[in-house]
Amino acid sequence: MSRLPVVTSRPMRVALPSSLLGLLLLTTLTNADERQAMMPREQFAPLRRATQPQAKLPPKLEWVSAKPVEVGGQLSLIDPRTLGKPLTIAELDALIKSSATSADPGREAPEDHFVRRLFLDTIGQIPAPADVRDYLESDSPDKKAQLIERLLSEPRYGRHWARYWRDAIAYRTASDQRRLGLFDIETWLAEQFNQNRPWDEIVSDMLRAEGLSDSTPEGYFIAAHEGRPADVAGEASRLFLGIQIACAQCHDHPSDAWTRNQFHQVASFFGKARTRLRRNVDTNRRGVAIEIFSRPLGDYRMPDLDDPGSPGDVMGPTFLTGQPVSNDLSDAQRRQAASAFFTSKRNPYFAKAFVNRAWAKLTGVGFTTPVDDLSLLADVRHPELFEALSRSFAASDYDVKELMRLILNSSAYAAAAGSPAPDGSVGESPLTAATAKRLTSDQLFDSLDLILGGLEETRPRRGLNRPSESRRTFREAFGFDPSTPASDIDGTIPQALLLMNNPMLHQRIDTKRPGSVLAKLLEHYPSDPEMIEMLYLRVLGRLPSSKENAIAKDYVAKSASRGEAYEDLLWAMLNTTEFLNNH
Amino acid sequence: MTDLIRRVSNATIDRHGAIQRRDFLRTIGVGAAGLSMLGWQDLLLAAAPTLRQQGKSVIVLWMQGGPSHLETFDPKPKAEGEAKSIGTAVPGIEIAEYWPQVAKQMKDITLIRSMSNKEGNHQRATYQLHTGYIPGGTVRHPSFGSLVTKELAPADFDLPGYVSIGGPARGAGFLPVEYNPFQLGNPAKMPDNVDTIVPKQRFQRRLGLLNQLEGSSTKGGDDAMVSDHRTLYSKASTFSTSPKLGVFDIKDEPAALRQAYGDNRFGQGCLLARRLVETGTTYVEVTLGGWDTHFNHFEQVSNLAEQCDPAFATLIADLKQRGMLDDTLVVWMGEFGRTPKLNGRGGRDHFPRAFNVALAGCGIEGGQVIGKTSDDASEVIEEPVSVVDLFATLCTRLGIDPHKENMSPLGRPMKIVDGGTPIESLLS
Repeated sequence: MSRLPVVTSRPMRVALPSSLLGLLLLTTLTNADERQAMMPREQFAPLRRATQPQAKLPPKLEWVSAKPVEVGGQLSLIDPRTLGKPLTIAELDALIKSSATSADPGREAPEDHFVRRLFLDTIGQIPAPADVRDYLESDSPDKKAQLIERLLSEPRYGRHWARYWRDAIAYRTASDQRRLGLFDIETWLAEQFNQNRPWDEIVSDMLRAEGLSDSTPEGYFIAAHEGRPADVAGEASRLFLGIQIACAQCHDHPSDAWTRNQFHQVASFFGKARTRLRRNVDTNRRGVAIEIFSRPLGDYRMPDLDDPGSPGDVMGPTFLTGQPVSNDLSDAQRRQAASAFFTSKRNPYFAKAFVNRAWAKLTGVGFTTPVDDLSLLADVRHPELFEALSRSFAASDYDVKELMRLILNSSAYAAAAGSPAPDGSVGESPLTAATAKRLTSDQLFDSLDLILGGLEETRPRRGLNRPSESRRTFREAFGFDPSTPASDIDGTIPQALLLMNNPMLHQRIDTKRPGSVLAKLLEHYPSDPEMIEMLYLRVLGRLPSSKENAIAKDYVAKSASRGEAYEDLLWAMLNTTEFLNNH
Repeated sequence: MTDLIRRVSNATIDRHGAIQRRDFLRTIGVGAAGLSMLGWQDLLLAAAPTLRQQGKSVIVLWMQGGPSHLETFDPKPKAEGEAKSIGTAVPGIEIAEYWPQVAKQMKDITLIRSMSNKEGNHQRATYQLHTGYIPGGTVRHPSFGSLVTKELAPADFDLPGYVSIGGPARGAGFLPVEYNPFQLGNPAKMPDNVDTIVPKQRFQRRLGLLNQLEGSSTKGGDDAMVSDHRTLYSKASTFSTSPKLGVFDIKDEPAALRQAYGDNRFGQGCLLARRLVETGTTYVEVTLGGWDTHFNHFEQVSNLAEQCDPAFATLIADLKQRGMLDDTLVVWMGEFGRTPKLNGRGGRDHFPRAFNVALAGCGIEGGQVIGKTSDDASEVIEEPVSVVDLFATLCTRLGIDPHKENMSPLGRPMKIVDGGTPIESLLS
């Protein structure tokens, strides 16, 4: 059963549409068929054209339809009543199995590897030695599901995924204002994910934000683009739909069906929003905030490339489905309409874009590469699996934790690193979590903090809501755009220099420093085999192999002092490929 | 083994992008024990004779804030203002009175007085004058420094190829991160984290232990990843222990020369730029901020020129004296000019319609003036030069094809410079 119209099911988001027109808009999108009678005939016509041929197809084919673009750049819609129920874990595993073309089911990751992976992917930090031991020693048959549940309910879960989306948004802004409010949007997103607000509500809030950045941190998405309609439209399509229309800003899309007109019609939804930098505000200590406000007069115009001096043609708002709305709408109405179009269950791309990113982040490989391109020409891996999981996400009312739960409990997520992909592919496969992922700057920082202690001690300047200087140091060196394919993210020399030589890290490793974690460990574990085991457990979340044991023992024996030996061993372990990646 | 070396050197020669670099690593990966037996440096050494060494470098003196063209190199006796003009070593060329030392070097400097642009916003114009592209859209264009480094930097250089001193540098954009600038705040201080902290011997022992652990990881799987990591650590530790690291220690220079460059960050930054280029760095940008003179224009410009004039002039003389000027392109520029009319607060406001740029070295014949502005400096009346024209000119001087394409993340090829015609009188 599909969700009820937004107007009734989400009183939180839509107080009451400000006009009858607004109401019509929302209902058109969310539950058009039921509301057909209320709609002016001409407004419904394009929708009917887009949906009717599809309604005749069996539900599965309709979803599997490989061509997202039907007629010269028209996003095809689906009937939400065909979504069915969310998948169960068993159903997902069956789909994964049927997607595999090889008889080899792939090895399951050893439990210690799995625990490290799970901690990093949910709460963004490696497990403590006790977490690994507890898991290995537990006899409970559903210990995996229990651990997943526990981690999804930790506040660090929301923070971790908030950082992912913070970076996905921030790394593609050309504006220098992207630093302002960066931590506020992270905190806001963390709250949303921890409360498990549905993804459509989160996105709607970001697209519809108004006012000062202090009271509406979700306005960051628009503010970071300085409210430029073309940038907001292009990025909203890329991030939330996986559809890249930004190329069409200047010319018709060369490899896709989008035209320049269509691009600017989408931009027109954001064409009456403006941002300005407000100084001397008293709502924060910085004294600076960005304000999103409406431009009451004037139309959105598409620049005339042949005559840059002329004002250009007026473009009214029309979504990629070909559905226009009135150009008389106010800024609030336009953005309300846009968010309805973007997040509607009729629009399959909204679910797909999120599912693809979540899957890619968890298993290392998405259904498409790059993860933000679901276009006509994109090579989709395992389309049936992708469609079913996306449909499930929409059917669950965009329940983010439910999607996480589903993927984390699946056989694909449990697969061992380096085991052959069950689909017979030689390289990367979304069917196994076999692809190593570079730790993000925050994962690395939080993991080092757990191992060494006290990294967060360098506090930010008084009263400013922002991360510590040391975390920022890591972000500067290790940050990357999460939309970049994992294989394109290279290590850098400043990263290596930081890990090898940073005075703060050096200090935390130093056993002579009062309160040194390593010194305490050395006191607790006077025997070398135990001490080596403890370090491996602490840094890599596993016990050392006999070869590693031998190397370590040999090194300790040859060293001038025990303290120096273990400082060196810890230093070396922190610089290994294994530590710096999530396998 | 010979076979391995040959394959490696082939990969190295066309090593100009991440893709090639990956191939390179894969090749080594196939060579199994290759790295541990030979070592990265040995391999490069084997390939060294065939490496393409262009040997050209760039030093950009970036005047952040938009320097007034009238009070720099395009003085107008008839325009509003109080600065006088002075003669230079080249008869017929006059510049503003604040630049007596630059005036003496004019035989090696060429002025473009006809720069013209539309961006009057600091951020947008700075972006444009650093990338050659107008900001907007979601493509993060690579900075010119990254583009040039990608084209010209030798693969075996053990220090960063692109260094930015004293300013917020523009980065590699969509190019691989290895083309990001190495940023330095204080030229008189060693870079962050470059000092090994522990004694070199112990550092080497640690590296040895790391290497052993890397070789025995039980997680197995991605060999390419491990070798990638080893390469990186090899390069970073080489940098950290490089005998060339002393290049960052400008205290080595004679006191008189340090004094001549000027005892301030910008002056010392220019000195460090020369040392870096001398050592093999491809692109250095040194920033002097404060040119946004909406108030007290003349006082501020005079103070800024006091720092910039000796540094710029000494840099040219120093490069020339060392025989380096022929292969080093020096560019003095900012994001726009300033209004010919004074505002009510004794300042000048942003003015992109006409501004100037000074060039020297890399075969550019000095003592020339390109273009002309009207008597009130408000209009370019001869030989207008756009930003892309300027960038195309710089490329040509460096032996880079300005229309060579790089692939953006959207899979759209983007030229190093989109359009633009090199200034004809600067072609040799």
